[in-house]
Amino acid sequence: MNEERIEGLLRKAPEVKAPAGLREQLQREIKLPRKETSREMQLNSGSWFKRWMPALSFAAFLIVCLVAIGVQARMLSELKHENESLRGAVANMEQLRQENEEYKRLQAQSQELEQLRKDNADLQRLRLEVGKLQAQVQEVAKLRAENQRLAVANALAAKQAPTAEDDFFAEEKDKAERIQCVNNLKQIGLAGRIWADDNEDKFPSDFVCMTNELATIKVLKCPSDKSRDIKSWSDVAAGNLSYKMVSPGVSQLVPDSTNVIFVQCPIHGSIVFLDGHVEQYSPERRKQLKFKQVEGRTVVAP
Amino acid sequence: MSNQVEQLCERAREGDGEAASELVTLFYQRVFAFLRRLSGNEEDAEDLTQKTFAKVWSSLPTYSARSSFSTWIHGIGYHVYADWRRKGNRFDAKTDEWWESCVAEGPSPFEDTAEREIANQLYALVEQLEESSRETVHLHYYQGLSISETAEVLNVVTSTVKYRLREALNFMKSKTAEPKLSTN
Repeated sequence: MNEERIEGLLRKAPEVKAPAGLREQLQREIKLPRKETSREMQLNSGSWFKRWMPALSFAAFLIVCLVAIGVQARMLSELKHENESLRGAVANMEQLRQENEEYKRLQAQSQELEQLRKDNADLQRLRLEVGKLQAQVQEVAKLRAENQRLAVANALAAKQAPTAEDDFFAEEKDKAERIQCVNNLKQIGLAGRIWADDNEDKFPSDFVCMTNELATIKVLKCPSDKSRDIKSWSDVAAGNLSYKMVSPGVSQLVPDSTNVIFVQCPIHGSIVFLDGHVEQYSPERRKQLKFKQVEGRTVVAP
Repeated sequence: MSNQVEQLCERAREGDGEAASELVTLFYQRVFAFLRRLSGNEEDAEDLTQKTFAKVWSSLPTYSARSSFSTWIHGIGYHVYADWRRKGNRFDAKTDEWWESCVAEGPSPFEDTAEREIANQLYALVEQLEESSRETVHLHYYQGLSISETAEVLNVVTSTVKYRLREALNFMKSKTAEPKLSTN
């Protein structure tokens, strides 16, 4: 059986008769809704809203979607623009990188150059200081050499000649010794005259004779005579004396007694005459002094 | 017809009882026949018909005339039937005698006895179809709704309706091609 026949037979399905009284019953049970008053219509505006709620929701959703799509499209456009700009920046990145490396290299060179300049300045400064120090070293060497030379000279001078101070004290000491020598000679002359007064106006023939007239044996030693040490009268007897008796045993009554030499100091050259006065002479005068013998007496030639 | 129904609906929506009675007169036969064939017994069909019209009156203000009134009322009837089925009720398969009685009460649409027997066999085969296919055949062939109206009543797409009808026809073709039927 083909489909057309089956469909045709199905469409010929016999009618079903409704039971009697059904229509009347249905008509009796009609309960139509009351006609809405104006207030109910106002209240039903909510139902209208409810009825249109799905469509309104869909419309709102659609609008939101459109807005979102618009925003996204705008953001996409901005992102594309930004992407293009970034790509352009990336294209320049390599050049910028090379420039940056070149800049860094130049900066490093500049820093190195600056460092070299500083080092050079330090070097110059150090050279100047080295020059100054070398000059100072040379000066120090000179001073040291001078010092050594002066030290040597000083040592030699110290060895060869006394210092001024030493000279001063030595001179004073020499002067004191000479004065002491003159004093000794005066006491010897006085002792000789005393002895002559007791012995027929004749002076003693040696120093031992007049030991009684001498207060101490120290007057028989010249202070400048370091080679002798007279401690007792026995030393005098042995001839250990500083002074030399020039005219022994002469009379004190001779006319030129003021010029006759009684005792002389061989160290200082000082002379005590018969009359008791003592004369001392400078080294130059001593060289000029001349003596002569007159009748057994030694006198100073004029 | 359609304009007349629309006017009646409009009047009934405004509370016109006569218009509502007129609508009952126009559609109670088809609604009852639809529910009678689906439910399988007369008492349940009456009860379902009353429920269907009660639902029609309460839902009349929401009728937007997007579809025809016939489609809309069939949709209500189908949902009332579906609720009834969901409550655990089963339909009684219609016997050949019932179909015979239906035909006997009115003028016979068939040309001869052989055709009537074949038709009875087809009606019996329809009752053997799956529930969804059976409902689709009822709406499209018995109630005379178009494929789009049937899809709207069943709340499915038209392609589903076409598929169900194709399945039903294939089933009936296979059954009617058996030797017993072919000899007749």
